Amino acid sequence: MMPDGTVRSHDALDEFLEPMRLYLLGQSQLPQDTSVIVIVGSDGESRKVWTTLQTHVEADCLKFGS
Amino acid sequence: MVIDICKLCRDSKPLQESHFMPGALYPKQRKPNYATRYSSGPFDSKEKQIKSHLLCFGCEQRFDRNGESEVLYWTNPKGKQSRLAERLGVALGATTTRQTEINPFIATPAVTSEPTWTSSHTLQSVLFGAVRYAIG
Repeated sequence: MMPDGTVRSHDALDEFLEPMRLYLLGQSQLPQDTSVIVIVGSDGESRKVWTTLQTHVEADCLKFGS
Repeated sequence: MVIDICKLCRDSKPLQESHFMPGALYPKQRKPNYATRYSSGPFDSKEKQIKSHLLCFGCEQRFDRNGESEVLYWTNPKGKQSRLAERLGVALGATTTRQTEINPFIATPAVTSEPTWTSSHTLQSVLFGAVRYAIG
């Protein structure tokens, strides 16, 4: 259950779920078709807001993030 | 005690009440807002810490050992200043700002060295914290 009342399901990750699980277990490398982008917001306004994860397609890529 | 399938190792074990984000990252002194692509509103973090019976003890420790403790060190939620933000400031501006103050003829300060705060270990730690949602 997310702060906005919506319920997240890991089904949204489909075929990406198992490779990521194996990576987190240390049994495989990070999948080659997966990228991780880290955005650090240091300004005051950004720190006042929690952004919850969303799944959507952007530039032909499945994006799982805010 | 809840015994079920651990979402990471998939063994049947007693499950911990896992925080999706570390409890220490929830702000204690203020009520922030939440924002999604579709809605926003107040977020009572004391009542709505996102957690569920998700991982066994061993996998909880795996997350802690391989990422969360490192993320908490760098974000320093209990302190006044994020260590990561501090290091980013050093890497991206502090030195050049001082140069400009000392020598006003430097119109466009140049970054003279690559940022040194990044390490593969830190990146892996941030990654572990970020993708915890993926197995929930």
